[in-house]
Formats: sequence, C-alpha cells, structure tokens
Amino acid sequence: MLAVVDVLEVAVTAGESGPVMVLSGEADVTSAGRLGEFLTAHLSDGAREIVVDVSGLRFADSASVRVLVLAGKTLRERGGTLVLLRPQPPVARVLELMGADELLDVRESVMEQAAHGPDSPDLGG
Amino acid sequence: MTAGPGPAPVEARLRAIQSITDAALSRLDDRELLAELLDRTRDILQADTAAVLLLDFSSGQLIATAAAGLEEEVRQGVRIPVGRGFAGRIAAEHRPVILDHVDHTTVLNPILWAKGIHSMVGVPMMAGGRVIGVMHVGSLRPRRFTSHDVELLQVAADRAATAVQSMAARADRVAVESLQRSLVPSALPAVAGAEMAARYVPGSGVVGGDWYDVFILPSGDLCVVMGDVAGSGLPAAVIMGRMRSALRAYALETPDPAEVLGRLDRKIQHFEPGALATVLYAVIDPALDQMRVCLAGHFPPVMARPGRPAELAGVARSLMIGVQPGAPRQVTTVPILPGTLLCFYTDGLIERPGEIIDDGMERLRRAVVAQAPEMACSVVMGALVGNEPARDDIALLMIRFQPDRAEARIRLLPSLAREEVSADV
Repeated sequence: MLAVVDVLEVAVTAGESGPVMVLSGEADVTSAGRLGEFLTAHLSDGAREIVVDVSGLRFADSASVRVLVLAGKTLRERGGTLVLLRPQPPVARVLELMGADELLDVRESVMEQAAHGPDSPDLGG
Repeated sequence: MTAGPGPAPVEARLRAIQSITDAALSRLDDRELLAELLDRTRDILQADTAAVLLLDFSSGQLIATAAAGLEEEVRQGVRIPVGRGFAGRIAAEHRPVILDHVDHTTVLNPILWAKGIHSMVGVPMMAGGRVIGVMHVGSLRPRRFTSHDVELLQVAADRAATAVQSMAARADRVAVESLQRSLVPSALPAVAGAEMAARYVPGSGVVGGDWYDVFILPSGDLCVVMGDVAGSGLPAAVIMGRMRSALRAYALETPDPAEVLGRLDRKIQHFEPGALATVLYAVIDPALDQMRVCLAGHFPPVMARPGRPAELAGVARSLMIGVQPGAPRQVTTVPILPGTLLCFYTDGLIERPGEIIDDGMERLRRAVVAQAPEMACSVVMGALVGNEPARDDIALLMIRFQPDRAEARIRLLPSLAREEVSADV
C-alpha cells in the first residue's frame, strides 16, 4: 500500500462575517476530500460567507479547486459568497486556467470588494 | 463459571475479546467477520443476543447488519432513526447506554421485546471521530450490566468498527475501479485517416472521477471527451457515468459543441445539483481537416504538427459544468494539417505538488512529438509519470491524422463489415 503524504494544514478561526479557514502547505487530490469535509461542515452550520485564506498555500491542484468552486456555488445559492484570500502565483494560475477566478470571490484583503465574481450578475458574459 | 465478573475473569475476558483480531478472522468477508465477532462477544459477555447496526449516512438511520441470537433483526431489515429508541440514543449521544428493563418506553424495536430480552447494554462504534454504528448485547433474564461489561463491549465494538471501515474502503475501491474501467472505451473507434491510442491509470492515492470518451456520430463526426468530476470514490464515479451518457445523448442531438456542453450543464444543474466537472468536448469533421472544441474549465489540448515543436492549442475557455446556469460557451475552430498529432489529457498527468501548473504543461508540450500515437503515449507517460505512482487519475488520448490528405476520409467500420469496408479504402 502506497503511503500518501497529505500535507495540507487547515486552521479555522471565527471572522466578522463567518468562519475563516486558513490553509497552508499543499492541497492536492489526496487532501481534497478532507478539504471538502471541512467546507461541508461549515456549510451545514448555515454559514453564508466563508473566507478561505490561501496565502500560505504553496500549491493547489485542480481537484482542490473543484472542491472550492463547489462550496462557492452552495454559498452563492443561499445569497452568500466564498472569499478566496491572497492566492500565491501557483494557486492563482490554476484558478485562472480553470476559470475558477471568475467563480470565486478572489481578494487581496477581507475588506476589499471583488472587482468581479459572484456579486456581478453578468459573470463571464 | 459464575456470572459475577471479578478482576481476574475480566482480564481473561478482555484477552478473549482481543483475540477477535486473530488471523483466521481476517480471511472472512464483511458479514462473516461481523457474525463471528458477535458470536464471540456474546459468549464472552455471557449474553443471549448480540447485534451490530450500521449507520446509513444518507438516511440517518441505523440498519441492522449482523446479529447473533437475534437474526430476525437483520432478516427483517430493522431500521432505527438516530436519536430514537435504545440504539438511536447511543448513536446520537456517542456514549454507552445500559437498560435494566427493556420495554416499549426505552426500546423502539418490537423484535427486542417480543424476544423477551430483559436487560441490554450498547456502545457506539466510532471511526475517525464519527459514529458509524452501534453494537449491543442483551440478556433474557434480569441482569445488571456493569461498567466492566461496557468496557469489554467497547473493545469488541472498536474491533468491529475498524474491520467495517477497512472492508468498506476496499469494497469501494474495487467498485470504483471496475465502474471507471467500464466507462472508458474498451476499444477506440476505427477511423480511416486517423490513428488513436490511449492510456488510463486510476490514481494510487484516491480514485477520482476522470473519464474520456471517443465516438463517431452518424454524420461521420469524430468526437472526443475528456472530463474530471469533483470528488472521489464511488460518488464521483457514479456522477461520471451519468455525465458520460448524457453527453453522448446530446452529441447525437446537436452538432454544436457549445450547445452540447450547455445542455449537459443544464441537465447536471437540475438533476445533480451537488455535482461539478471540468470537461473538454471536441468534434472533428469527417474530412479530418478541422476540430471544433469547447472547454469547460478543462486544460487545452496539445497539438504537434510534423517537423514543428508542439504547442498548446489556443482555445477559448468557458466555465465548468455544474456551476452557473446559462453560462456562455464559446467554440474555437482549430485547423488540422495532415500529419498533426493531437494530445488530450486530464490534470493528473501534468500536476505535481510544489510546482506551478505551467511547468507541467511545458513538460507535456516538450514530450509531445508528431509520431505514431502508441509511441507518443509511451513517450509522454515515460516523461511525465516515469516510475512514480500518480496520486490522481490520469487519462491520455492521442490522435494522429494521416500525412496523406487524399486518404484522410473518416470511415465508420461496423464490426461485421470491417473486412469489406477496409478493402474498399
């Protein structure tokens, strides 16, 4: 049996408008399930806004991005949003290639309003 | 042997329960192992009945799965909602419950009172911090179960929980892999003027939801699908199967790749609201001189023309499937010159931890050379995977178009008529 090293660290703190998940290390297919479980737990608690601080994430693969986009979709359907905070270049590039930067509210700070994202109705048009 | 458990008998009984992990048990299948475990637990605790109920997460009910002295509970498919009755309370509160007198106020399941069970003790089965079921034993005569009994039963329940988890994981993996393999083409279509080869490797870390598909439409169009469903394991594989057949159905209805993905998106958002996927759908004309491609969050194909370095096809991007109703989708037409090799892939091929995605794409671009597709696949797998077990699924498809354009006519070769049609080419 192959030893799979899951090097994603998740810390959760309470923010002003909802939970803040601070991700660090590397998020790949082997940690995507756990990431999804964390997000689902907050979603079933009724959160409307979830901030995911990815500034300490060295790497994220497309499996992890799909999990984030799926959680963002659930939040948007209840009038909320998933804020992705400070993605570093390797993460930002995957988001861009997958078009996920248009689906998530990517920001440099919690206060900043997104230039585009879930709030704008004509997304991608 | 007396019923009163003194210190020495407890130790002996604990050893007896620990023996439940012995090698002989490991050869039994899921249900046999639970049955054997329950038999031994019942003997060691000098009880009359023993049962395991496993939690069905989707319904929130405990389902009787194995029993000793209480087989009717399993045969009748007893279901207990979490939070109600004896077993339901154990699951809801995550703690043992002792019942000195069983009656309809404390126990929901009529089988237990009809059986004449007088006293019971039950404990939660835990895995990864979550309740996965309940194990309980019962006595037909009045009996006060003690904290020693609870302790012993908890040891047995922990063994059962571990066994159930590992067997469920193994069974899931086998099911997912066979489902996945049944959903990728067993043979690539025979097309005059185009040669194809493919590789498909399920992930070693988790089995994801990658699929690919190649088929020919009645119009003679050659269609290529690469997709990757969010999530992993059995749920992802099931969604993948539904996406694959829905996409095939829409491909028969309309020649426009953007329209096909748009319909797929609408179908998924309505019927599978929790599903999400990245998909590439390409339609190659019967003359094999152009490809119309639509990307829904998927990575672009690599194209190698003979004698030239390979390049990433410049294809417009649109949103993933399953996210936004009515998302606009754009089709890019890519001209295909004779001798061109097209390389389609899923992300597992190019993503490596600690690396920017462009590095993986560049490695792929360098490895793709216009040559026979089997060789092209081998070279790419060698360069990008090597001897490393890939964590994620990998799907790879290569199509090379014949250098001689005069011969490049797509042909549908029905299996019965294969010889005649081939002779005709």
